[in-house]
Amino acid sequence: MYWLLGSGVVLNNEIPYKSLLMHGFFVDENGEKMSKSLGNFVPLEEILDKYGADTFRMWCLSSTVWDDLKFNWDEIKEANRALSILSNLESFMQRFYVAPEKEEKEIGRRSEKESDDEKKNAGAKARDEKETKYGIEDLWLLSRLNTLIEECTRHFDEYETHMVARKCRQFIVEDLSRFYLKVAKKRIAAGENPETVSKVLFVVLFDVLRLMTPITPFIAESFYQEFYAKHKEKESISLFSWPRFEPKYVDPLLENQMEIVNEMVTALSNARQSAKIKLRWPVEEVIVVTKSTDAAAAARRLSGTIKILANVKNVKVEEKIASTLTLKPVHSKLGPVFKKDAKKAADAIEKADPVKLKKELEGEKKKAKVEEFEITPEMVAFDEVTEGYAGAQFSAGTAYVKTAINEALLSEAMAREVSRRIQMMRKEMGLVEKDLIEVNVSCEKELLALIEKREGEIASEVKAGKLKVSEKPMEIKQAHEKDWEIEEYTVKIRIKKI
Amino acid sequence: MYDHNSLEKKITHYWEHKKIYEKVKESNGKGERFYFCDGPPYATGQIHPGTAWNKCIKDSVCRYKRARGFNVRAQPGFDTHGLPIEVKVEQELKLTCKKDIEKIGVKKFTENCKTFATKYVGIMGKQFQRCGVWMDWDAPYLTYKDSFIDRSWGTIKKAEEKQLLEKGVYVLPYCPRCETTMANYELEYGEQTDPSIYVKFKVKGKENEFLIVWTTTPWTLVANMAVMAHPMYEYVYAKVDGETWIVAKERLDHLTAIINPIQGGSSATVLKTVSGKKLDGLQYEHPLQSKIGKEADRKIVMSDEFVTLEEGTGLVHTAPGHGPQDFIIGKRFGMEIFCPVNEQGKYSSEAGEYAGKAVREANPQVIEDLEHAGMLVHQGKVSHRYPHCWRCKTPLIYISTLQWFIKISKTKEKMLQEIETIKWQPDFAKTRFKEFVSSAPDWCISRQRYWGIPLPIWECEKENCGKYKVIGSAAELPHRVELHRPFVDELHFTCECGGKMSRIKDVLDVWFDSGNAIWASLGEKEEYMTANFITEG
Repeated sequence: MYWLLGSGVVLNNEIPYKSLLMHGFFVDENGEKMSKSLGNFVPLEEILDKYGADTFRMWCLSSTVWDDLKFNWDEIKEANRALSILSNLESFMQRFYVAPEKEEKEIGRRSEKESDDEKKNAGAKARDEKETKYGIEDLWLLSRLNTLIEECTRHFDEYETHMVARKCRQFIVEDLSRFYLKVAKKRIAAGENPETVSKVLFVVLFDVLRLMTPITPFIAESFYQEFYAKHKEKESISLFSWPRFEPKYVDPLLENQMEIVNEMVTALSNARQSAKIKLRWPVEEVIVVTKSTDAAAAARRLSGTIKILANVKNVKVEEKIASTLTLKPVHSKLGPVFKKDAKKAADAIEKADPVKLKKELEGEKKKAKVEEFEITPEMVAFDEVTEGYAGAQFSAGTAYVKTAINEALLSEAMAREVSRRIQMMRKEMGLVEKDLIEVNVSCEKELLALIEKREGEIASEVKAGKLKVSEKPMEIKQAHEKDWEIEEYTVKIRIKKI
Repeated sequence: MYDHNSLEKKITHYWEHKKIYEKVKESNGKGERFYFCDGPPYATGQIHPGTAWNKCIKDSVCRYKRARGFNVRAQPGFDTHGLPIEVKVEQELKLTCKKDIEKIGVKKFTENCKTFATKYVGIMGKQFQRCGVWMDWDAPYLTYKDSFIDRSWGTIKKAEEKQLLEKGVYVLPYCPRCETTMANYELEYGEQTDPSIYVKFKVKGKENEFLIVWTTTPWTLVANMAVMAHPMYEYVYAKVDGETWIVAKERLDHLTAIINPIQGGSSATVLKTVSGKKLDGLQYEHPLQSKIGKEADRKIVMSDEFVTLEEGTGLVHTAPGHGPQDFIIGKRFGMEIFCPVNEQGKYSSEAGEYAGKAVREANPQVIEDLEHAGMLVHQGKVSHRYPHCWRCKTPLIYISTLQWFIKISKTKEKMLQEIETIKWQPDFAKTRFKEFVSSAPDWCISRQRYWGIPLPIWECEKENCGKYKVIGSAAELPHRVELHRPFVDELHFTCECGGKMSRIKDVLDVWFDSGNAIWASLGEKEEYMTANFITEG
């Protein structure tokens, strides 16, 4: 750049470039320059053969442009994982996308800009919008998407290419895959407005592909060719213009609220862990205890999302919860001070009144007398315990799960899941209401135990003349067969029309 | 892990088959221009991950701009001249020095260089494409093309018109194997073990008084013309083993500590202390006068810039022909810039008995001669960072040579002003760059090699004429030839005085090539324009 400047000033009295982006050096894990003579050289081909060009690009473009890029196989692997997730999203769309009855193909003549096409489609789009019933998670995703579009546009304009790579990656891995898709799958399985989920994913993923094309062009193009090409007119994802930022979808309040809810869900997961309740078992009730009005509002508005993600039937929001103060002696602190009397001291503490003791220890003197022992704060651990609930903290409060496992609740939930799968298969087989079927449901012992008493219930719901649940699959001649995953259980269902 | 292999192969094939890149360019044909200029990598071998990273950053920006509707100019470039390629071709053809090159003929050599570069252009292009980089791979710019050279000559001509082009004698780092001068940015520093010697210079007119100097390049003593002392430091006259030694007061202990093991317990007695400026003009004799032959009025001169108390003796051996600082001092005090070394890095006939020897190899001889003359105080070794040739790794030597410069220093103000007018990412890059520009010396553009843009300067061969002619484009040549050596060497002009003008045999610094890329890479019908975006490490 110095020589360009010098030559430019000599030739034309000006700097011959309008913007300059500085990038770092490519170094090894220790920050040393890579060279064959130093023996730390990794040839480009090795990286490309092992992980491909897109992964290489995703990895190196995620690194701050002006910092040195340190070679690291683990980071490259991580980048590959992110792209695998994108690839899985394509598979998901292939399996579950249902095109709306009146499909609007985007007409694109090559010489015209996309914005002209969009003007043409705008009227139809507006009508369509009014008719769409978006769920709260859909609105959240659309908000996140548009925030992403605005940010990526700005970052590219400022030549902060690494920010684009990182944010797209985060959107795909966190917002889309880890969060939205969970909700989407549940809603599709529950038959709750699945067309909207389809439509939202269709729109969102298309924008994501356009954002990702400069970063990982191959996979973006492949996804487009394999899935979108039949719904759109252009020959390549690169023939579409950059996604347009729609400010009307951006809802910072909703995004904020979803973040808090995400925290609550994580807390609930921790609470489940401490009470040893598996995620697959639905919990009857959770209580979100918070003094923050914002957090309370978030929990109430997004209670539906909490129910899906935390697998709970009921969400309560309270400012406080009845709890008992309990105490436990901290043996590691008693030992060094009381030596052989440590056990005696511990016993004395356990007999003490928790409320009184806590008050004394938090008082001015920061010590208390328990029997003949002088106790200091670090020797006692206090805990607020609510009977029947296990709690875990989040930034604005504590989230509690009801620990009593309602087996009936659980088996009912599982039976319902099985019924739903059978109904889906009926539809696939093109059966009508009055058609009777013979069914075999085979699954692992644990699930079997939950649903075998409900054979009759399931049978009547799915119009099965004959229905048997078993551990090993039973033979039904000429049966239609499908494997399903229900809450981490693998289930094989065989159906035949009778 | 998804199957990246078959996915990427499939998509690559699809893009080629359906000419997608071309269609994208066409669809943006009427869009606003976005000129991205590619800083060209050397076409000397396979690309490595760092080069690929650089191209992917560029590609992501270009793809974004295309999606925004810009008409993006994305022509990739290759640096196809210069020492990197020459050295590789020398290795291929088993040539070890310039003489060998002249033996097989410059034409054959430069042809081989071109073939070498072209081969790698193809290989590297394919590697970049494998990374998904969408640029005009079928029409890259190559610095060896006549059109590129032609336009680059325009800059030299402009420099001359603005009186920024100058010929001068400078002391510069020089590679004795490649036989060409190097610029500061072409130095590679590596650990080197060199002799570390302390030498006596007898004070003129006194029997037993000596200046003690220290050097790690004994061979440069041959060209010693002066000794520097710091006017403000204190110097002592110390009695050591019957001799009076002059040395900086703060360095006396260090000196005696070093020589004690050899001389077995001798110590120094300070006779008197003087401030450095009292030593100004003190004349001395060259310790190897009979060997070197060169007569000169050698004495102590004052320098508060280049004398330090951190190492050495506070008295600095100065050879204006062999060090950039020595050169400055030489000029300042009107000394002769004595450099008895030729282009092969061997002593010339002016070096007396040392004539014909390769200079660094002469170190042991010089030391031995000093010892025989009784002028060697101490001999040891030192391990230090020393500059090497960035291509052939030979340790460099500093010698004075006649070179061509573009006086960038005159345009510093303008450059610093211009720096403020563009977008920098990140901000600190601007600050760093400004510092670099502020301290950059004049640009030495000439190199004494074969495969590069020929220096477009012809000089009159007639004695006492010395006129020179700078041409700014190939159209000015008497007839069209390929714009490389040896073809341009065969063209002559007639001087105003009637004498014959021949081209100065030099080629241009390879950085000049990339420095001109923004306009030199443009097609014939394209007008000059500034680049919207560049990115480099």
